[in-house]
Amino acid sequence: MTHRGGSWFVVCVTVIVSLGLLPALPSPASAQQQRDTVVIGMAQEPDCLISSFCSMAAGSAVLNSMFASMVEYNDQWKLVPRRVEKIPTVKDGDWQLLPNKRMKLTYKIRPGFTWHDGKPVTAIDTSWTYLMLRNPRSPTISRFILRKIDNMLVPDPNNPYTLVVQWNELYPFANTGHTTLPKHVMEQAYQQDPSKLKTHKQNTAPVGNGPYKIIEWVPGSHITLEAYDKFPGGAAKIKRQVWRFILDSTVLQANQIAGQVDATEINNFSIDQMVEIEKRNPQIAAHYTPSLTWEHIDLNLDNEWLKDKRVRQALVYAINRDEMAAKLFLGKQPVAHTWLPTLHEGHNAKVKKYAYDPARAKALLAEAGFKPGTDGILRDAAGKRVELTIMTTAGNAQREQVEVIMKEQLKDVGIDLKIDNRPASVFFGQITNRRQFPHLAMYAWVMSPISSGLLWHSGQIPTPANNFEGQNIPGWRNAENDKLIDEALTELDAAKRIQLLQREQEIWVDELPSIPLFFRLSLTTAKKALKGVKPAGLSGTYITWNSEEWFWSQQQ
Amino acid sequence: MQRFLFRRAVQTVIILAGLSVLMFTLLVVTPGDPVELLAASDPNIQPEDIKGLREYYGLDDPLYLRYKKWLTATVFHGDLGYSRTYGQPVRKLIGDRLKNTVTLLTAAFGIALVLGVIVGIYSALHQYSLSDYTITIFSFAGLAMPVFWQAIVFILLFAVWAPWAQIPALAWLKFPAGGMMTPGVAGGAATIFDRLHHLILPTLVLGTHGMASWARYTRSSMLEVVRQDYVRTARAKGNPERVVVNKHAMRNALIPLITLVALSIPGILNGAVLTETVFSWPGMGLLLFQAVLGHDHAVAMAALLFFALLTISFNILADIAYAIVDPRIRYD
Repeated sequence: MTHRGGSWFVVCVTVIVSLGLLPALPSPASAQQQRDTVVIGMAQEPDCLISSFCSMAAGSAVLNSMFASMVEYNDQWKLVPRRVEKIPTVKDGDWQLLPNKRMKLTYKIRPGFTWHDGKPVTAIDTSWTYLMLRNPRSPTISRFILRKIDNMLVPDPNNPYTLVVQWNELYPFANTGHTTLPKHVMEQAYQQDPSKLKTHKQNTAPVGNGPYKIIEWVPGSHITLEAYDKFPGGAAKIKRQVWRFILDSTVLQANQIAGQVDATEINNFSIDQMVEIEKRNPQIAAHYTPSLTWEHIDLNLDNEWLKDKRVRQALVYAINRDEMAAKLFLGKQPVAHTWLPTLHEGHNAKVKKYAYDPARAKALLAEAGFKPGTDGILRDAAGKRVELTIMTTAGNAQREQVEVIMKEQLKDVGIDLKIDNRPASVFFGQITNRRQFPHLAMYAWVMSPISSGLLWHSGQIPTPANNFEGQNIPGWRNAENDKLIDEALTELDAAKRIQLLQREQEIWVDELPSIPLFFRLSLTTAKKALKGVKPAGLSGTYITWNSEEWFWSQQQ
Repeated sequence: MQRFLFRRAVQTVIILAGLSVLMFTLLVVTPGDPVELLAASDPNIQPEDIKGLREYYGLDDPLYLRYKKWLTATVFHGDLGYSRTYGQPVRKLIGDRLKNTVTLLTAAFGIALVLGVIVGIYSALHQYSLSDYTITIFSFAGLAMPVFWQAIVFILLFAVWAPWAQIPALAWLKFPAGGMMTPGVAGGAATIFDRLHHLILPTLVLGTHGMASWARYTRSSMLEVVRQDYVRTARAKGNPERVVVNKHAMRNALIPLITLVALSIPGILNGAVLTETVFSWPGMGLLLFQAVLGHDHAVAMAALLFFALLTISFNILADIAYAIVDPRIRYD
């Protein structure tokens, strides 16, 4: 038996080595190693590829390569024209203010852009798209902006490159362009039944107008795009772009370390994982880009204790956010003192700062009528033990670590913090939307360059009466703040609007309906040999916003 | 046997009907419907939009009405509906994914069964030897390792670290860290090799538990059989050891294994969900996982019922196989 076993061993080794020597069998990564391809790994798979019908960020990331917007934000968060000749302004006269708070904007569309089937992209497509999305039977997710528009016209049929947009109210961000879809591809299906548009082929194999066109979408595996040769300015330098869906962030991390993906976006990485990637593979660059994601803890202002501003302020004084940022995020993620991030035009850097001060916290709590019990935990005037419950998304390691640190720090000021987490679908589906958290709820809002604070309006408090519709989860009511928001929503003068936003933040920081924690970074990675990558950190402007400029350097 | 099969078919229909009610109810009452999740992620979404979306997806209909619509469409029209997430017919989605899962399951099952039986027989015939102890240790290790953990360890070892891949002849022993294919690979032999290359790690992970348990079962079953009088008689008659083992011992030792193997299939299916998720293998398991998380009820119902039907079918097959191999077992 030993002799026969030894023979089998020799046979196995010979087979293994021979397989490796066969010249016809390529190494699995050879396709990627060809410099005409870039592979981008994502921890999400898009749900569809029509942005107005889809909810997932993954779809928007792929669409950044396939569609050229009229106007877009670049990596400096500046608005730049892309498919239009210029951005309309009041000063230049192509943004006109009309009586009764109406407006008219005129865009000149740049000729030269074509759909991937060769047909020209014109203002007629944009005008048709508006009508299609506005139709209540279309599966449009949000008509927030569409409702502010009365009409989109192409006044001169002989000039299909001029678009006129008629607004029925003042809106300061009216010059940020509009969604454009190919009328000639979708109109027939739209006429037959708008409600079935979610199943139209444009969702899965869209005809776009951007630097890349779709070749295939293998569900569960990848999407392959190829450079569009008729893109104005020339075809993209890298011929092929492959988006691979690797849902587990640990496995995605392994793929990036092993070099089996060239870049990542929407990767669910933590900062620790990013540091590990750079350490294990020095050929990978980790990008830590400021973003508009605001991590915070909402306070339930209906609670008897949290109604008192002094208690809310005491909570913020009691938490050492600088220490959390240093320990948990290696000092890379800035502490938030307000709800608008630093790069937002309306950010107020002069708001009151709540530095870690447990003595001040105790003083405020004493002022509010709390006295310590024999166990060191405070009692209110009725003798009730001060126990607060914090809830967040279960399984989110960093949020759970924040909770643990908070528990220790709040204990020092006499507050017993209980932790009670839920799966994300339950947390967002019920706990926050229906305000079912008793005291504290930790999560993040993704703001945008055009955020004006609407979510803090008292009309946005979800209640049974309004079917729990609205985003003012703490339930904050402030008449002055409401007035400022109403004004900011329609203030066209940027300087005035910024003043309004800054005053909103002053009030907010004093009242503290939420505890501001951090401004999260947008974490992306890319091989150093891949040049031209400029992450923007904006929701809607993903790593591929300028992918037609990417190229492989000669050095690896 | 025909009456037995008819009885089991009727029982299957009743079980599936009951399961469909239970699964549909659980899916619908699970907190966090898709529109609520959407609203939570976008501060600009307005109440009118939420109302419109709820009407569009029929989310405000009462539970019994939603179930009735689903049942009518599925049973009487064969229409599994559309995926709310992907906007594609469920039938097409499942069809694409089913092929991938069948590939993975067949490979894992085949390797696990063949290697498990061979190793178990070898171990039994060399009881208390060094190789027997080694096999026992590895078997218990295989049984103890959680699938999820094992998958990640294999990826780190064979896809990220893989120091042997520095030797050119062994470069192919560095495996892809997930996925089913390398996009853009030229057709023909290169595609076949690429697909096989991607298949190896998930197959090993998925097959480990089965291989370990079947090796142990085969070993104990074989040990029991080789001590029987008829095996001693076969040896005494002068038969070569090969004939004693293959013809007399193994056939009898494998009878209980048939039942065990058939009953293990559902366990492998459960493991497939985890394996496919970690390896991003686009199969039914991953589809089910995504559908449940994303509240894509049409897809989730179809996938869950498919797994239920598969489990019940393999139970019936186990009973039939048992009757075939063991003449003492008869059904009526």
